[in-house]
Amino acid sequence: MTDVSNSESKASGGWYRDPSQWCDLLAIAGASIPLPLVLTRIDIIAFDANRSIRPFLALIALALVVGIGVANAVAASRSRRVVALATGALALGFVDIGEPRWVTLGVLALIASSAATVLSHAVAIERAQTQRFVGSALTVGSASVGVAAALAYGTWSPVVDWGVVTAVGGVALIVAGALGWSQPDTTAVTSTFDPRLVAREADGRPVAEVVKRPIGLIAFLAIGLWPMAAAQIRSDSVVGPRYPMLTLVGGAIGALVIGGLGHLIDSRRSDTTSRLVQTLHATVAIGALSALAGITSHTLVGAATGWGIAMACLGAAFVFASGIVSCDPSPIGRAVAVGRVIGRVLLGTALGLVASGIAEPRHHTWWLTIAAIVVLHQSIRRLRRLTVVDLESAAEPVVSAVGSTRSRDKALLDVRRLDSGYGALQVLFSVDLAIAPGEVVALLGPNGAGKTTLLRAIAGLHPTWSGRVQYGGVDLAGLDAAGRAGAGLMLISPEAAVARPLTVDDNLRLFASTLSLAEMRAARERAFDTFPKLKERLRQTAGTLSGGERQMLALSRAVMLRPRLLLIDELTLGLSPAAIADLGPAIRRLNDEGVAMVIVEQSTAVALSLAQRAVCIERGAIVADFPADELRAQPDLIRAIHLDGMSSVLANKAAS
Amino acid sequence: MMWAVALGDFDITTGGVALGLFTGSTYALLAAGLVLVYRSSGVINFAHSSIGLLGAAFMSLAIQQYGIPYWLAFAVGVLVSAGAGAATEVVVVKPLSSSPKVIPMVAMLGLSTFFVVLSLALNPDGLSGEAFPQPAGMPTGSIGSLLITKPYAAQGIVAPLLLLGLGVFLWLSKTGLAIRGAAANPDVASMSGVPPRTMMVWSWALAGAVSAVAAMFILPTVGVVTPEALGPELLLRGLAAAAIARFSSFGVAVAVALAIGVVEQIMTTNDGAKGWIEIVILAAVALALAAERQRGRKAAEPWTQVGAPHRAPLRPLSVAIAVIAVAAAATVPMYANASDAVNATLVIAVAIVGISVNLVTGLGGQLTLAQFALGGLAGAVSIRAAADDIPFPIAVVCGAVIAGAVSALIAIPSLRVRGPQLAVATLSFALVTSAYLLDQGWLLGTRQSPSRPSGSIGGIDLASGRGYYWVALAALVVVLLLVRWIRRTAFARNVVAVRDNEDAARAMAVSAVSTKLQLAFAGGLVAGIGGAIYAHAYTSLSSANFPVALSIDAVTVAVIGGLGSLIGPVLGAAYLVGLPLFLAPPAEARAGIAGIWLILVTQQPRGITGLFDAIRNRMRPAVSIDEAHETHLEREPFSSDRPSGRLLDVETVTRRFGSITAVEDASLTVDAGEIVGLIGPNGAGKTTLFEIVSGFTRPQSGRVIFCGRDVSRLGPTARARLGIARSFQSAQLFPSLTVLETVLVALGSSHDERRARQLLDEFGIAEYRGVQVGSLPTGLRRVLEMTCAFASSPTLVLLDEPTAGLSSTEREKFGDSVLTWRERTGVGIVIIEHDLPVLTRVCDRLVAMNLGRVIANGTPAEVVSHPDVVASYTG
Repeated sequence: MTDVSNSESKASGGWYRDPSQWCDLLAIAGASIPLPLVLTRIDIIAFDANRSIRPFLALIALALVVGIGVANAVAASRSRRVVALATGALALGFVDIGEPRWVTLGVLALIASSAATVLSHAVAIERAQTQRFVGSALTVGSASVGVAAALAYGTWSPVVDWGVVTAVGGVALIVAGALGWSQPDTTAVTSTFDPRLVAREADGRPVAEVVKRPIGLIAFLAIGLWPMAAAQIRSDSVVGPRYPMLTLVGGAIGALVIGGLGHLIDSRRSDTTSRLVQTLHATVAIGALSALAGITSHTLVGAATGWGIAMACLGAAFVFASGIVSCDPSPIGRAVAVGRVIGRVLLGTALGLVASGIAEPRHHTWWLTIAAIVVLHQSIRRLRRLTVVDLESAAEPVVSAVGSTRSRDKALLDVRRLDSGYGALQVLFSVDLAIAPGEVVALLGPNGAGKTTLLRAIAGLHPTWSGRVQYGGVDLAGLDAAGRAGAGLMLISPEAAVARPLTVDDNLRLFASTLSLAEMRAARERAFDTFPKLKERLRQTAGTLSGGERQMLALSRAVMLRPRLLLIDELTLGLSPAAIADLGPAIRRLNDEGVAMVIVEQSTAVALSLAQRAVCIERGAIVADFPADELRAQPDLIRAIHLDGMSSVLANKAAS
Repeated sequence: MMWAVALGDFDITTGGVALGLFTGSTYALLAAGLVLVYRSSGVINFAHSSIGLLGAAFMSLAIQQYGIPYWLAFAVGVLVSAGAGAATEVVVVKPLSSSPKVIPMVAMLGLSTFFVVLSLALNPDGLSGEAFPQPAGMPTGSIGSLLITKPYAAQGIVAPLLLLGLGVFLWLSKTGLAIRGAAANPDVASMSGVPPRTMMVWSWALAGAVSAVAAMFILPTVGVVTPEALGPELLLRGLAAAAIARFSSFGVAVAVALAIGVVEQIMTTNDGAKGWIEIVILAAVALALAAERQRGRKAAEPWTQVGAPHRAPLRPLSVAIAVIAVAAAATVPMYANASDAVNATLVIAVAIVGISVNLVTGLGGQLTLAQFALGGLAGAVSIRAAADDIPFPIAVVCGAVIAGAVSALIAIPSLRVRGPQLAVATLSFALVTSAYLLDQGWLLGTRQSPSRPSGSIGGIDLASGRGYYWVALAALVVVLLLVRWIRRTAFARNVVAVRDNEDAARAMAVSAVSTKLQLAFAGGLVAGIGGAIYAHAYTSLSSANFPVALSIDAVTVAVIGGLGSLIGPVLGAAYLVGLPLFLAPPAEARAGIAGIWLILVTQQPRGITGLFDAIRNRMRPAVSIDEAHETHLEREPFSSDRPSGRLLDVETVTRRFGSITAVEDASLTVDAGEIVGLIGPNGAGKTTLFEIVSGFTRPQSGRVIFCGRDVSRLGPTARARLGIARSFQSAQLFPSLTVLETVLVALGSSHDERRARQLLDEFGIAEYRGVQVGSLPTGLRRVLEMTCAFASSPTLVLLDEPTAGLSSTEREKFGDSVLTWRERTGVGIVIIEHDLPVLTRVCDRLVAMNLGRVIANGTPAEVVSHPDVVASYTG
């Protein structure tokens, strides 16, 4: 991550000497200040306008709010987002009421939102570079600008010379946006927004580049939205179909050019993916917003076309974006991600349509604003989660602690450089683990070494900080735990064993949720075949079963669903030897059927009796990797796992 | 067959009972929805009935404006509510899932207001009983003298069918099973390919749909529709049923709801019983709470991000800002007209009540919905007293003290259970107060005309609306100073300790019961002051001035402003109460005001002050480690009476949890000055043995003898006072207290700050004394736990995995300091530990356990090579 060192070297000078910082600031200011004014104007138009076109105008307003939301939500920290979104909603609602003092209040709120955006950005820069004085000056300065602007606007009320505002604002925006977009991301600023990064910094470990600040997006939005807004303003109280159509075409062309250009430039850089995603997002946003503008034409054909373009644009671009994010040649991962995103987009659109249709024209803005903000905010969250994927391309072979090199070509599971933990506490440190199909691996280590966390992270039940998990050649980053289980990657652990308040019968039915009725019957038969005892306990609540029976029930999930890879955590915890003896054959049988396994067991002997390979983990790192037979032959090493510490014993051996 | 029973003045007729069962089954629908939601998200859905109302508003609109047939519109309404329910989960509940459960519940309260206002804005005329559409195609008839109208017939026919349908769906269908499975254990559901998130949304949608049906059948039977009747009152019936069923059993909830319906019907058919149904419900909820047994361990809640009280030292700047703010506020009567001054007074009064919520909820972590009701009591008492020529300040104090006492009284049922139940109990108390208590002749009666203090300032009479504002402002300043003082006392430290981690607090000899009671009293006192100020602001006053909605607003005010912050409620009141009072917004703007604060709270759970803090933290470094590192303090000698002889004798204790035997016939002895290590694989019963010794768990057989005294029957606080100190495996301590405060809590009643600093110095963590425990790395937290364990000069110290998560040098240091402290104090120490090298260095004796039994006891070398011990690890 070369950017990190770059920005560190920059940090030694004042931030103000770095033009990119200024550009960022300018771009954000440009994006945030005039837009609210435009919004106000549109809403005043909506208030004066003909009843029948109000819903459509409201949709434009909605689109604009979405735009501001995108700009703020993607780029900013939590508090900045809140300020922007909340005041945006407040303002829009007040403006809708249409009385002068409420309009003024709304405008004030919007300006405050803009000022807050600028301010927090300034402070963020300042903090990252520890230039306290400059930051304070900036803060005070931008605050007073905000207040002055608010006062001016309040005095003049809604009758301002829009021509001047348009000209000045437009030029400023385009310049700032273009400059901002052309500058590389600054990681130093980004890191202050991400608590995970700060936490790890405090831990003394290097900060990885996880989050990108898509400054380009804001600039794009600013550029793309401006002509549309200008068109709206000039058309004043009568909105004809001509200007929006112009806007649509202009916006689309602009988006294409900018997007294509961005792609060309980006493709020459080493760190392409995240910027590519940003470019896409921007293109999508502009295209979609322009298309939405198209529907203001109040002929049926125009509206239909507008919606059609909007939907297609959104859908297609999201597909493209998520395809990049999942970054896998295999169709499964992409299809899953894409399907989910499309579904959400369509849902949001449908919701908007229904709401606008049903609502009273007079009251719609409140609804739509709040609904829009909410839908938008949620989808942005999802999107951000999807884009936060560490996409390293290096594929060097992994060398295990004992020096053997394993081929990863045919691995069923391939965990690479996995970091994870809880809060500020890192538990897993760059864990590498590969499991071949049908292989049983015992994961050994003392308490607190990170075994459980590793298994949960692989199963998707615990978030990973960085690194990646590939399963059958597919990156699992976009797939949740249920999806992974559906794909045959399953965990049985003390927490994820059985649903205690449910009966045994209900548990078995729950396990078979994804199966058809016929499959379920066969699966149940298999379970009863393996554990006949369960059949006698069908009506009993799972919580009242004995420990051994409960684990049988838990294991019957694997028997029923036949995963490709089964992760087992402490299956025999607290069980009597007799109960353990009941479970062993079932596990072996599963393995004979081709199920690969990772087994964590308190009892090393039990684990080794089942496994072909043993991997030792200590303080969150893999320290050794043996064939199981080899380890079984060395009792001193087995003892070391729990009692003396494997790494020290290995070091001693190497020394002697 | 007709029958009628006369019970005193009460007539009980078949018709009444039948009608009661009809309405009861509608309440049962509400209750079932509440249970469903609680089971899946652990949140009490206070917006439950308002979500239903939204659907009902849509239905009414569809029928009256668009002429859609009844049952089609019914389906539309149900769908709308289902959507609103699902949206609630996605938008509000999920984002807040990592906050303390209080926050989503408060958000639900706000959402409730939002939905009610929205429904009224959407359909202002169509929601009252007369205008609301009657169910089509329902039979009418009569039972005895009672006429069964269409809505009642629908309640009697459709509601039970729907209940049945809900049961069939949940228990027999695949989706129903998935919903229950995801609620029971999300991990298992995930691992079966069922996404628990989706199922959670489903259950919220289902609950929303069910509540819509309830609202559609109840609305045609009520007369005047007020936000009150639609919100809390309707909800309370379902809520009480769900609470008595402990939010877990559908069957119990349905049965209780039916009973409530019957009782209510009998009450209403008998005159003179206004408000009695609320009293019955309050009593039932209180009884159910008292009967609840504490099950399992209480999980500590992540309070750090919300309740962290900010205790910045007084800086000249903040003093100056405060003085200027008060001075500016004091100028209001100079230019404001009378009505604006009264409005400002009301804002101040609500702010004071909000401050009391901040004490109970922000500091103590308990959601209370009765603060304004307490204020109403105080107001009534104060008016009565002032009418008897008692001076104004004394009258206010009288009212406040009584409110405090009542507050402590209603806190009693919640002492043993921690959870949402207090909210239900306080909500029913609030309803009792406004529907019954305040109307009594000895309180407000039908109407009162409060008096005001006499005197004048600058020509403005204090008894006038403008002059009285100054009185209110003075009260606010007094309350702020009072609360500020309370937050700095040892009492506040204990409150936060109990809130953050009740077990650890009890292990440090802090009595949870008295702490909670005192807090409830303080909360009631402050609420009482606010209520009295509020009451005297009116020229004419009745119980209608203290609606339940105000109690809910008080909580909202505290949350908007920022839970745990001192000044937050004032800002919150200005926003939530002041904005509508001064700007008189139209209905839709009120919905918007509610919507905005919802967004604020989901994004920044610490409210407005949280936003300010976030900005301020950006400007300053996040961790402020005390820079002035003082010189080493002199070591004070420890009390000369070193313990001697046998300290602990655990005689063959056995503890079973259900079918699992955690500890079986285990014995353990510790002598003075001895260090004993306790080893064994996971699940061997080591921690349970600790719990038995420290008093958190009672053994089913066997005895615990400490210093020659049988302590088997004593609780953890009592044992801590006798000298048993323990640490916990999780090392959570009290995340929102600072290091110094934590040690002060452990020091107990002495509260000697010098001593605390000295201890910190000796354990080498003096420079972190100003840092919050939640932000300490694990290593330091372990050291702090040790410090706390030794702080109270104990005789016996139990350390549970003290080196888990420590680096090897930290482990070395740990060993050294244990040995040093044993030398200096002569205490007995028991250590549970997996790190054998550390144990063998430190311990005189090792005890090994497996499967609940002690399998070896002897010197470290003996035990480690004992064949059973090796076998227990390697299997």
